[in-house]
Amino acid sequence: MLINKKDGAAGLFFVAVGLLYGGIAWSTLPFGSALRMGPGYFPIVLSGILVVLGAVIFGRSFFSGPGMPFGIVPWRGLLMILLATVIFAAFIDDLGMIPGLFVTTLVATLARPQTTIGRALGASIGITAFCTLVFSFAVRLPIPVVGPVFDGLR
Amino acid sequence: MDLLTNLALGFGVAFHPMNLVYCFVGVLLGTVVGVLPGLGPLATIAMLLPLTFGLEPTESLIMLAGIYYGSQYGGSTTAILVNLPGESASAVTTIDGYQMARKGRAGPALAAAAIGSFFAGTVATVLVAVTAKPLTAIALTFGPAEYFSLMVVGLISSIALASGSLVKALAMICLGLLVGLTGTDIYTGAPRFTYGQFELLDGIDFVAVAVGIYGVGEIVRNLESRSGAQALIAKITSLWPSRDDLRRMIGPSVRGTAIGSMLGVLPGGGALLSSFVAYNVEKKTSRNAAEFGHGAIEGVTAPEAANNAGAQTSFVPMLALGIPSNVVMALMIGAMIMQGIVPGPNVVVNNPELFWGLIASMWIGNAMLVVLNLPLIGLWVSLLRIPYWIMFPAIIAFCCIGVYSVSNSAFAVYTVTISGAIGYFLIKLDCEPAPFVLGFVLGPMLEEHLRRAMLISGGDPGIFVTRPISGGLLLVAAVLLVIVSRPTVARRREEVFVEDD
Repeated sequence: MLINKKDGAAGLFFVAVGLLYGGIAWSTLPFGSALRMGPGYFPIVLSGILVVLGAVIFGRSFFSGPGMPFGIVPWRGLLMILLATVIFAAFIDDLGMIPGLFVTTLVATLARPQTTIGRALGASIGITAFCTLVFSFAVRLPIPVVGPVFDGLR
Repeated sequence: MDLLTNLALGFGVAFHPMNLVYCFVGVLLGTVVGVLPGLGPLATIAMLLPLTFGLEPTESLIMLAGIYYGSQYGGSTTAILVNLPGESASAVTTIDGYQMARKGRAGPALAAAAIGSFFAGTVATVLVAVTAKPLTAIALTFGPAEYFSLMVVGLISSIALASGSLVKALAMICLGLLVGLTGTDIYTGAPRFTYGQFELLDGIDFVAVAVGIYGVGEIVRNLESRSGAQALIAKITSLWPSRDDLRRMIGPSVRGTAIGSMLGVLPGGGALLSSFVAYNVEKKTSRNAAEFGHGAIEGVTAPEAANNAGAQTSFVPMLALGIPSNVVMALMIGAMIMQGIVPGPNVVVNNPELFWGLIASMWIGNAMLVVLNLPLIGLWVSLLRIPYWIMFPAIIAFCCIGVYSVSNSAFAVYTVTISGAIGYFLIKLDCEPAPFVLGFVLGPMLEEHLRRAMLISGGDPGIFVTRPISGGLLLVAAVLLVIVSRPTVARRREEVFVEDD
């Protein structure tokens, strides 16, 4: 029976990461000696400390009281924001600045449920125009204004 | 007078027309960033790094520095007028600043913030100029053991900045150090924690991690609150403080500047901690203590002077030692490396025009900021009317473009996605990101100096204690750890950071 869910989850997370990194370092990287430290020395020591700290945090979660509630997670917002960055990364080379940024910002606007479609389109067009002017024409970043996907249309 | 010749060199560089332009652009952008809530100097500097690619190193650093200390000025505007900290170091200014605004004294509050900041900026500039040179002389005698211990002090004192549990902050440091080790081991060439990803051989891009945590993570946190209502903006009638106000500003300005300057130099310090401490000191010592929380002008002046002084003196360890005292400085180091300059004690020898030019530009920038922030206040107020549904997609767009252009790879943008998601959930679990980010930056350096020190000592860890400077630094770290873990201090830390959310 966990009492402080936040501490419990954080503790488990730190233990898991410590075990994962310690495991990788232990199995693939030479440890070396204190005099000539191998690439595995420092990571293994750190992972060990992390596991201990995580265990302490987890253990304390039974005694530290219920604490503050976790609060709501804006799942739609989180997913849309993350999706927007993924879309940018995946398609900017092919689509180019104007189309790529438009899709990115449009997805980002959807993160806020209250935003109407009209406003979303307006904001996306405005931001795309502004960024294209600033980054493509003023700063001359090497991102194509219109990407190679549209070459056939010319 | 060595200092005067150096300052003359610095002002010669800083008054160069192009440098004046970039200084102005920097403080202008900084003010915008400071005014807009939910957009901090860190994310902005990361976003705008690609803008500096075509610039000379001096120009780009002058501009980036301007963004940082400029944001300290702008942050107070939002804090006073709408009761929202425009950026975190202005959080305490909301307490008395907004109360003053509600009583129709928004103008004097803004003036107090700007004048206090300018005074602090002037003093801090002189301080940076005076202390940086001797510190570099000391730094040149540092061996790996001293560097290692100094970084330990930095990491431990970053805990003082984090709210919440001490053990969690320590765990976040370890996590940051571990993740920071990703990439090729410099001694053996062995790939570490790359999961077979070719792009990770060079390590994880720091700019992308910073943007993910502070840009993306912050937006998602803002989306939690559903209130779409426009903030009520207090009216400004007259900007001029009365003679009584001016008299009451003198003490807090001086004390705030002193506190900010000292805490800024400490690794892990900087603007945020300075403003909190200055406010609490003022509240304890002021003759008008009863007025605090109800619109005391001292409660505005002191933290604003402190955060500006802290922002500026935090450049000292970066310039003199090459060690970042806070997350923004870590980014500045990244910017210097991108320009082909290795931060550290040799900068002042090899690039004196950059070093002194940057220092001189800080004072010029502070003068510009007073003009920008007082007569042009109306402009910034209108900026506050930009609704959030336009703001956050624009921030996302800037972040993506910035990160993509810094490394010219889509992989870095995926890094933003991943670190944004993980960072958000860790913040939800009350794990502060600042110790993680500092650990991330210092990880490789810490390991390198540890290994070198052990080679020198023949595998005897005693080297860290027996060398006097190193031993002294470790003692400082130990004392710090004891202080922050004392229950009374822990409780006070919680109280101090209550206003932060």
